Amino acid sequence: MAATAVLSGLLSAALGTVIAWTSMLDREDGRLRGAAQTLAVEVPAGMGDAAARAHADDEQTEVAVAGMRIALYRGARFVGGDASLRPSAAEGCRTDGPSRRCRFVLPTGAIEVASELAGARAQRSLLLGASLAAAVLAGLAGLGLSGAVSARIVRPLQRLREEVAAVDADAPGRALPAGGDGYAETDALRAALGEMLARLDRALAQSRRFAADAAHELRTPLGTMQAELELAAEGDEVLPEEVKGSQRRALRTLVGLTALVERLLILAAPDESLRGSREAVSLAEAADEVLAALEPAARARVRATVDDRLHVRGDAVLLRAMLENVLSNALKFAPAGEVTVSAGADGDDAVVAVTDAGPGVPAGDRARVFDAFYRSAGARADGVRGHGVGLALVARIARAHGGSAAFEDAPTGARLVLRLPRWRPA
Amino acid sequence: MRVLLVDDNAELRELVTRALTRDGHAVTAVATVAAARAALLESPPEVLVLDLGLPDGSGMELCRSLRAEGERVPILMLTAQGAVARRVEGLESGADDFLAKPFAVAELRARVRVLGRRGPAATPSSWRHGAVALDFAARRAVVRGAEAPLTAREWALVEFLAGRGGRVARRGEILDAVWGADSPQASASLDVLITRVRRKLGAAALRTVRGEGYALGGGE
Repeated sequence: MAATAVLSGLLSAALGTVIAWTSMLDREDGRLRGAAQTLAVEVPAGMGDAAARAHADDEQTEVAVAGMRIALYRGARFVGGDASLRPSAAEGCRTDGPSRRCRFVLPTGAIEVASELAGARAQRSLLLGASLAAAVLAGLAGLGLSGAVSARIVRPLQRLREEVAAVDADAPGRALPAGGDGYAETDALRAALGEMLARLDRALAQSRRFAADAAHELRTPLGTMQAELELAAEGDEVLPEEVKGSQRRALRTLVGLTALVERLLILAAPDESLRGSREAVSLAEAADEVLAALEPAARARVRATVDDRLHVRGDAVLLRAMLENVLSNALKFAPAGEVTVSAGADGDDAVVAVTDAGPGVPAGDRARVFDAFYRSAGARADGVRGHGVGLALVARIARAHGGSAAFEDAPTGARLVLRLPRWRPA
Repeated sequence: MRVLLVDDNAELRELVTRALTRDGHAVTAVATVAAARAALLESPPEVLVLDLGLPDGSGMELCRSLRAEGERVPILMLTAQGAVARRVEGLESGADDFLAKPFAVAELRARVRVLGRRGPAATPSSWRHGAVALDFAARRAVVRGAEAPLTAREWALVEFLAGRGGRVARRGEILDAVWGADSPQASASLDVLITRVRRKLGAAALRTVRGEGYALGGGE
């Protein structure tokens, strides 16, 4: 902003000087013309050389006082006035070194007039100096002004932008404390943003509570149904195989449904409740349990190398669920081939990588695949079973433990990488 | 095993009674604190399953006063909220385990089994041996001045052994107390767990007594 001020100052100084100089010359030319006209009136075309000479000399004496010179020529012949004023080549006015000269061709002869520009030049210098000074002042004023604008608008806006960027998506209402910087312009904006975030927070809390309440309400009848079916399955009565088969299938569906409800509850839970348990969890132990729970056919496909010393602080149940979901996702979407699980330390992080030999995840889908209920076109087309909740859960649990989940480039198939901060003494 | 169930929900009492009876336990089910106290006097149970919210009092309060009176029966507390904070509160009031409602009945059955086999609570609050200091209340293990991460299962193992006061515990007992089962998988997991605990606490903290079992302290 200061640069603009200085630049425009300089430009206007230059322009102003040019305009002023031009008008000064115009004025000078006017004076010269005036002197020439006076002589022209006194010396009509028919007057003889001697009389003309007298008038011209008189005129020269008069204009000399004003710093001008005047001369009358008839053809190449000098008639009167200042003999040192040689005739010009062309008509009109021009600057000739330190002088301004005009040549007027009239019936009575050619009148040459000249004046010294020293004074005008001095004036021009003064004008230039004044303009430059004005430009510098304008520049300084611009600096001062830009500083003021910066303080009043730009910096508070930048601060506001930073605060908005730092808003926690899971708890937006906690951002933007009131008070601001005392500048009315940004304070109003800050207040409006704060209100909007508070509304968003309430809406989020409401939808979370709804999801949590709904899932909770579903758990009880589901739990009862499962218990009844399990007790029935253990029953001593002899039932037709058809009925028993039906019971088994119903139980399986129920178990799947209960698992889905549990996942939804976790997805809907606010971060604090997920972070509740702060115990040390061994990733090797969790992986062992997840692998042990797999069907033998699935277990045979998995090759796991988990560093025994890797520990994470958090909830063992959730972390197990996270690993279980990652593994079942890989096994599901890559129906054949090996699934590898490797976990090791990378500085302060524990890194778990799960790769499969399936179709992989196209680069464009890599972010969306963690959205709840998202199922890629490929998955739906292939008739892969599921609700699209597993990966959303993985991302949620990883985040709640201060980590992340993402798909990375892989030569073939998919490569899912989980990063979690390692256990540290409290 | 004699089990006393205290819960004000009739459906839950009916369902749990059926399930635990199926497991061979003798179940008495009551709905209030007053009835619970009466049942405790009449026929002392081996495991107490206690709901948190009762019409005439708090399950947590009952638990606390029972412990204060010297009652050592293993207590499994049930609660309607799954919040972790309540778990800690429940354990601090003297309960041995904590299960959130709604629970899978199979889970309840397993935990009752474990509590029954473990017997009355006898864990000391801390244990020191050489360079190892274990604080069971805070679940903090310090080895040679640095805190070491022990997982929940590792704590369960160490606490159980500490409760034996340095005496040997057989594999079967450990499996029952920590896994609630004596299966081949649990047995294999025990071996892995022993190795890991030794690596974290030092070989001297956990000794193997060939042909008998394991004990805390005195290892090489």
